[in-house]
Amino acid sequence: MNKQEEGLGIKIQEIKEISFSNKVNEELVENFDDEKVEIKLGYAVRGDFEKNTIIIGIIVHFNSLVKEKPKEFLKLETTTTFNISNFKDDDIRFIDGNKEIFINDELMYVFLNTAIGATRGMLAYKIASLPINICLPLFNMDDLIPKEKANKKSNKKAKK
Amino acid sequence: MKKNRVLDKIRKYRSKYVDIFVDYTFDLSNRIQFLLDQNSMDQKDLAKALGKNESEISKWLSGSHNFTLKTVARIEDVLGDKLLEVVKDEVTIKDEKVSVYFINPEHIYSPSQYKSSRQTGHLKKYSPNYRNTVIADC
Repeated sequence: MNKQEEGLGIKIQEIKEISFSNKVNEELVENFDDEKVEIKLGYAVRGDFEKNTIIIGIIVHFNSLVKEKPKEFLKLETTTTFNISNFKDDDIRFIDGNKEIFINDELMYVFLNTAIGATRGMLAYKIASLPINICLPLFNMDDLIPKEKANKKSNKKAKK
Repeated sequence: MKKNRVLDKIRKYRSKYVDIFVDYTFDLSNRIQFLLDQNSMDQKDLAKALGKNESEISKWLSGSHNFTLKTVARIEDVLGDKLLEVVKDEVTIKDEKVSVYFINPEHIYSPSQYKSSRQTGHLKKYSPNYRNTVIADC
């Protein structure tokens, strides 16, 4: 108990489906080739310093590459809301209200991993009845978290 | 081969539904002809069964006739088999929005190995707009 009171604590407050688009049709099912599927993942970070919350938005697009032009057949957007307790300026920093958010890498790993996992589960549930076999794969967090170069710039701003 | 500009223009701007219509009518006349052969019937027999002139049936089977559903149904009745099939088994999917319930909403996770940025380095800025699109294989 003491540990929770003293150290940083993270709690999932909410997992929400924002939008879902399904364009799977018979033609796509007939010509489906799981090696010709392109997956795009994007994320957004919002927060509320008064409520101690961080919201990670995840958007996933599945495109079929069977034809010359990539054709989107599935899209899912979710948000995962985290409640953070006992955080310090070295962990998460809000600048100018909620306009700018700075997050420690290790915490961002936790947030992103959890939010992507939640999206993966939600997608599996949504497409369970589809005749095609797809899932949201594992992503390398290093590809998602900005590199050190962007880092220095952002910290300069944070100091202001 | 010499190209006709007017015809090329017409081909270019012809609506797609015209092509679909032509495909349908030719497929239908082929199907009728196939079922006639299967039933050892000819156009004359079909005309008689439908109370039509043989010339009319011949026109139908030459393609590009705009069949009504009633006519299709009558031909199906005479030939005893399907000419058209309406798609029934749409690919179904759960449309309802997913709600997540937490068994223990008060559980707090404290990363035990976590080190604050003072020990690890800098904080990074994150955007409220979607970014960092990653492309992965399935």
